[in-house]
Amino acid sequence: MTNLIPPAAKKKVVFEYWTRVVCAWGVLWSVCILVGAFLLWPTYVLLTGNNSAYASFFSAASERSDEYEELSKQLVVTSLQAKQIVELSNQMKLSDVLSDIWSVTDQDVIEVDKLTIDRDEAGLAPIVISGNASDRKSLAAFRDELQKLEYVTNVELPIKNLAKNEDINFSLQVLVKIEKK
Amino acid sequence: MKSQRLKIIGVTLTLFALALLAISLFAREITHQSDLLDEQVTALENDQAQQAQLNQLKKVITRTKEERDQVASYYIESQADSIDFLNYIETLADESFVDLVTKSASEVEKGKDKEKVTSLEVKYLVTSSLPAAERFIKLLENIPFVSEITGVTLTQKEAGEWTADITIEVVILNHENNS
Repeated sequence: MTNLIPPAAKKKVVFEYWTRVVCAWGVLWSVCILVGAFLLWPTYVLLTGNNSAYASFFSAASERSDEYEELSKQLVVTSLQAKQIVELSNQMKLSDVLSDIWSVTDQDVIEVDKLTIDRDEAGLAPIVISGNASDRKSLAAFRDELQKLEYVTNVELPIKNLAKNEDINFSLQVLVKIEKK
Repeated sequence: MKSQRLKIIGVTLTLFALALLAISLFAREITHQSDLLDEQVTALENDQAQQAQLNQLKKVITRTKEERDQVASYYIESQADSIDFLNYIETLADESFVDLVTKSASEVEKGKDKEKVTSLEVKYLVTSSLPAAERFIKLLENIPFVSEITGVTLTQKEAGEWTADITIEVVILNHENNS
């Protein structure tokens, strides 16, 4: 029967037909999507209901968590402070080093003019002692005595200090073991 | 005919757009609410697990208050404490019969990040006999502050008179850095 329709009109009818088919499918899909959205409504209501029910518990839990963190922090701070105090008290005392140096210095033959002790990152920096020795033998003895100290690793006495035999102005470096920090 | 067709297309497109908008909004809101619920449930579970620890922690905090205060008292905390420290050292010098001159006082920082320690660095010039200077150095090493002598230079000036250049660092309490 469609063959009875003139070709120009037939084209319009086919176009009209397909337009309506596409629109019908579009409406059908829209209805399906809207039904789908409607079906999500109970899930949404359930979730919002649960969230508002948990909200007060959550806020209290957050406060407790903050309190927990704050209290933990206080203890950590005190532990670090105590650790620092112990570390400092375990450090080699400069007054003890001084006492040891004086105890091995024979004041009759060695006259110390200047003594420098500094701390560095590793512990004690080399100790610098300068002064005057009555003779080479007593200076060598002084160096040996310093070398005997428990924490001394080496005593550096430049050769030029030993050029003279008597009345020697010296400057020596005492190297100290590295302290564990 | 043409206007009717356009009307049908318009209605269909509007309906389709509205349906898409509705479902995307719903889906987004449900995802958001679901994430929120998940976060709250996790927080509540953690809270329940931490409850016993929190109570124990509170007891420890209460029990150790005195000790913690004692430890903190060895630190310089404010500018007033720094002045107290400087005054304390001057009193110590008077009592030790040494002549004390404060050469400088400044804040220094050592270490990096969490290990960073801020200290008050004070440089002193002490003039006295050698035994008195040594005694004073010993006293400085035993003051009730978290401190360390970082350098000493003893120099003989005249017979019996010595000068001691002393550098001391006192740790300043810094809660943020120490945590």
